[in-house]
Amino acid sequence: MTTVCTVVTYQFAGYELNMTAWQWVCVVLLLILNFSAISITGTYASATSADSRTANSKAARIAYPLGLLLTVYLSVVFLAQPIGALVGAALMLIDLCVIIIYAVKVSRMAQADYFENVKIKKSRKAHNNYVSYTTPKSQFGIVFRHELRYLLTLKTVLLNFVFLCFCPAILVFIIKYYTEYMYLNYAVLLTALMMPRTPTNLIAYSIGGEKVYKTGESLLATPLSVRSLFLAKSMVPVLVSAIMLIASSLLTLVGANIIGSVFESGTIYMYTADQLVLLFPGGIMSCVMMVFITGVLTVNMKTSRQGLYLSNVLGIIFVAPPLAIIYLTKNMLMWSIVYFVILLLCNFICIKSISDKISRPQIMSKL
Amino acid sequence: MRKIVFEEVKKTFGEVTAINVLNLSISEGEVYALLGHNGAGKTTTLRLLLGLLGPDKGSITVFGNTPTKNGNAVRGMCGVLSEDVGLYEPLTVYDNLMYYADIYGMNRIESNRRIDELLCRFDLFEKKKLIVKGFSTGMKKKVALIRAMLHRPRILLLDEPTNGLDPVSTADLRSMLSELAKEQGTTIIMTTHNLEEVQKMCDKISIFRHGKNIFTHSISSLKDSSHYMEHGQFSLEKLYMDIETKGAENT
Repeated sequence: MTTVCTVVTYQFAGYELNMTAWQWVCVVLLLILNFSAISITGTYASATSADSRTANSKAARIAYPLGLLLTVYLSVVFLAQPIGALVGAALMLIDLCVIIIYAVKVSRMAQADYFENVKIKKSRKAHNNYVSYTTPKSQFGIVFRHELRYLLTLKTVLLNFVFLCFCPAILVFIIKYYTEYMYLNYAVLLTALMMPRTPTNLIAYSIGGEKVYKTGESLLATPLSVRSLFLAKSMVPVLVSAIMLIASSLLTLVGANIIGSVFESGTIYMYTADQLVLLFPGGIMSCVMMVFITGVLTVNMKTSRQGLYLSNVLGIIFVAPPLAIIYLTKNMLMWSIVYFVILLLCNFICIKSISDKISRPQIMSKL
Repeated sequence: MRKIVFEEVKKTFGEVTAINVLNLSISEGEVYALLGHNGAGKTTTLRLLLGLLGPDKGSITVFGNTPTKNGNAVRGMCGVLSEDVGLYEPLTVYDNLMYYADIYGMNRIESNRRIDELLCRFDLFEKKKLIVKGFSTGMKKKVALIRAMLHRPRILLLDEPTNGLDPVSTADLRSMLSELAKEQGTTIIMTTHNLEEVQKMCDKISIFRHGKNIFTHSISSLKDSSHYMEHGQFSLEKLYMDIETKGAENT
């Protein structure tokens, strides 16, 4: 779909792709092979996992590298024929190997495998990760520490987040490669699109997870205040998003400056003030907003998953204001600050109304 | 004597009446069983007691506290084993228990000692550092039971406590609950369908039907009466079946 959209956009924009017939055949063939490889991996992962999240994590281990390799191929397909052909052939071979391996695995599965599908690694590491034994003072602290400890067990999710941190940098470098210009605005836009998805995914494990794994009732039956519980659970995704924001922005900046110093005789790149406002205060505030949207949706929808799907779609909204600020306004800095202040006010109102109104019977009725 | 009292309590969910004018009085130190068919309102009663749900009508007091007003005071003195064990599966047994020990404000030395003591008692000490995912239903139930007892609560609310437990663990739990009630004066309220267990463990029973308490009696007085004997012994099952088929008044 991405490739088709890219091609259509190129045509509409009046560019020519300059691809030969065999290059088109290779692209189509690779797309089919890639799609088949990811599908069959997903099928096997679904059959051998306890729930859809575990299946998703397992499938992602194969899907992400394959997706990355495809992106690499789409980038080099325009190059001189031997390199493009070589990379394409190597990738087809990898895809074919994956398809064959998983086809064999699926065909060997007996019906009983579907009922004995949970493979558990009884590792002692989870406990060893437990670092500090100091008693937390507040209820907020207790829940926050617990959420962090829980987060450390979600290794695949964290790995995916690390991978996401490289995306803005990769986008900027690809654009630089094709256009000769270093547009940091693209990194800002991709970050604005990408970041709200991080808290959405994490909320699935914290607030949504309490509903899915039925841990909520036991927790509500303790003297823990609902306000502390909700705020602590919300702040962990925000913290992770903030770390990711810093990491991805630094990676982009460091990469841009390395390219600048090596290939552009010492050109130095730095984010402008408006980009910084959009990235950090704006980015963090949009993540906080997304936490509330996802939290409310996962608790209120019939199933948590519906809430997650909806909030994932709603996350796209957060790219619109930065897009408008970058391309439609003349005073970017002023509008970036206005955007930040609006988000800040919205979040304040959300925190106030949620912490004032939220009650145990209300949550119980949604669990 | 301190009591847990439900007076004329009514609770509806939409058009469904879950609790219909419920009257209940439970004294401190009693082992009390709430019996009844599925959907009779047993779990809702426990949730009302904890302040997780608010009553539409009537009043509830738990040792002088109203759950909807002094909820944290009530919940602080309760240990709860809910229908779903509610454990964090990717975490270890220890992490699960320590989370709740922290919530109940236990200090680290005390909570470590208590966790070890209860894990030994339930034969789970060697599993202390293992993640919960992959445990059998019975083992998860044991961990959830330990979590409920961790802070030595004055009231223990157990929703189907022996469901999924092996006979040895059930017997262990029975002796432990009796000990808690007799030596420490812990009030134990349980919901169960296992009548044999109730007969062995409980002091008093209430049978619920469509949200109403239709029969309340102490086990000792029932045992003394000559009715409902089977093979020369009192049979709670016979009594329960009679109430379910004929109604409490006829019985």
